[in-house]
Amino acid sequence: MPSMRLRGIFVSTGFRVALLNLMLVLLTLTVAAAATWIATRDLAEAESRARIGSEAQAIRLEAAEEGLAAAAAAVGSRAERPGSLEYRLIGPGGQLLAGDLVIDAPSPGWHRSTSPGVESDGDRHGLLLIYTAAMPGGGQLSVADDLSRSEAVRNAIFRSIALWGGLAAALGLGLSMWLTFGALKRMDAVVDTVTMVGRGDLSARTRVSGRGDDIDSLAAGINAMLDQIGLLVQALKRVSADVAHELRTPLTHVRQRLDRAEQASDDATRKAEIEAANQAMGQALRLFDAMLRLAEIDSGQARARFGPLDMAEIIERVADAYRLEVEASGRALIATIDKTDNIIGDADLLAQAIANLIENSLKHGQGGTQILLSLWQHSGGISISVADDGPGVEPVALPSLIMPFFRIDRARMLPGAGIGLAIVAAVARLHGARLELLGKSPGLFVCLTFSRTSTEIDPRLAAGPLRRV
Amino acid sequence: MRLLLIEDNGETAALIAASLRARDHQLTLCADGASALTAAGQQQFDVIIIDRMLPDGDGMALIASLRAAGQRGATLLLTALGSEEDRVAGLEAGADDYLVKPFSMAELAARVSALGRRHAGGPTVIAIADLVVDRLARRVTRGGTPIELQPRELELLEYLMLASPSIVTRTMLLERVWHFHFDPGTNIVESHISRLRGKIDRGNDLPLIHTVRGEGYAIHAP
Repeated sequence: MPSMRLRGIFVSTGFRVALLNLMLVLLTLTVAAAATWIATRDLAEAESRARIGSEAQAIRLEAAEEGLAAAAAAVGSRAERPGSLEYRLIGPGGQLLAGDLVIDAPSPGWHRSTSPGVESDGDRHGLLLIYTAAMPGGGQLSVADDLSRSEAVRNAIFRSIALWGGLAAALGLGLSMWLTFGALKRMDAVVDTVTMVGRGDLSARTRVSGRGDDIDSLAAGINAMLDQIGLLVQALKRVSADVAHELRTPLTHVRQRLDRAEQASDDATRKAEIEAANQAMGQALRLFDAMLRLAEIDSGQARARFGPLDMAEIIERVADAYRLEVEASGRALIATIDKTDNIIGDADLLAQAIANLIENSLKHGQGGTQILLSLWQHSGGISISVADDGPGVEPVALPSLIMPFFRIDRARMLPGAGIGLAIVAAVARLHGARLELLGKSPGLFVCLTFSRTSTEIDPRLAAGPLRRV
Repeated sequence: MRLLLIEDNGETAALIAASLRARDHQLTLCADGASALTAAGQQQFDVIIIDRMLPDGDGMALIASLRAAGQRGATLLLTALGSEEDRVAGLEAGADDYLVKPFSMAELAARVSALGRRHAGGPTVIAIADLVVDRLARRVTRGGTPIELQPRELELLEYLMLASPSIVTRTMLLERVWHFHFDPGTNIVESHISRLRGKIDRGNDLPLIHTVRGEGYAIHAP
């Protein structure tokens, strides 16, 4: 579409800036030329006046000393010199004594003759500057200079300024059009990509020239954004498929249990089947809840509720809730809890994250002897860790561990949907905390580090923790 | 108890109403905020159950109108929105409790019972059969024999005794005793109840702590 592109040139910002620059250059040139023209004109006229004045003075001096005839001879010889002024010497009776200036008898003083006269030798002259004065002892002298000669020089200067200025302007215009045209072509490629994505083709990417200029930055930025969108869409598709898959099992159980309850011949069987259906329903609802919770945490809304928290209190509360359960599994829950500065965050979500970590160790750390829970403060912030001495996780599987619905192979038979660690990771993101996982130390070791404490944000907040009731 | 239910979905309202009436509550049913305000102007209710999304406005805003109309009953918000944000907003708007749909009728009934007793504040000494809890002295005896309890166990026992003879659900215990507003996958409540049972009921012919299958726990004389 060349016509479109040509129209595109005139509305493009780059071209408009170039055009504005060009217009400024042209304006400067014009002003400079006019100023030069005026200055040289004034200079030339002042020079002429000085020359005319001194000539007239010399001739009048000649007449006063030697007489009118000698003055006439002097005029004659002066007029013969090349590049001389124009003269006209008239005697007391009005007769022409010397000179070839053809003018009407003017009154004394400075004059300007705009009507071009013709000299007796046939030379044409243009604008004349004339000085007329009475001669001592009668008669009148007129001395004139042809200003059009210096004007021709000025005009030549003016023409050359106009010529070269115009050439420069045309060159500038052409160059900026060429540059804009190139930039537009590259912008068009970016727009084409964005349009394709708008139509649903998420695989479209724009070309990066490698020049490293602003258009390249834009193109690279758009490509990075599209990569991220692609990943998100992929993740969304995967999660949707996973949710559907995970829900199918409990919902199938609900239906089967209800069918059996319907066909049950005695009340006891019916009741047992309905209870089992209810439990399967609870499993499906827990999955829903977990997914909603994950989405809520990632939305960042909870930041509005952030306040200073006493982590030791939260960890003790969670440890207390799980201690019996851990002991029932034949292991020990060992909590090493230091007193620390307050953390800025959400008590409920942090309690859930710690609970999820303990539950994770409880479920997957079987075969170990203990679960270690620690809270300590160090130069890098405040850390919370949960570690077990169970079988651990192969290092290659660690990054997948925090993805929703991921379960390592041997965990497939265990209850749970694999959302617990995804929620821990989301809570860490929400709080700007660093999440570290070690797979074999000797079991799974998970550490959350909060680099910002309440004292660093606002010393007043450190005064007292807000406790939820 | 006298209950007011404000719920615009006919089927949901009918199910809730039938279930609560079967538990010997007197229930008035309203389909919107305007008729609820009219009903509230005529009598005091013990517990008011409000659906968050009503045809004529947000159930949260209705709480303030009911209070302005002179209702002193406890309020329970029902909602389809399960976010923590909504729970906090509901409680800040003055709701006394909050329940996310879908819920079991047992959960609703247990919470309504708990809310109905809420205003009493509870006596300082509670006795059920020969189990006596002195809440001020933090002393527990059964048949005159002192029982040593951990602070959290005492909290658990107190909560069960204040609710007695009503059922307390697992979720209620998680919320009140451990401040957990999420559902842990494991049986932490069961473990604590079983330990408490070991201290209260072991070696005694009359067990006081009862498990109600699929609903929760209750403490009462056999």
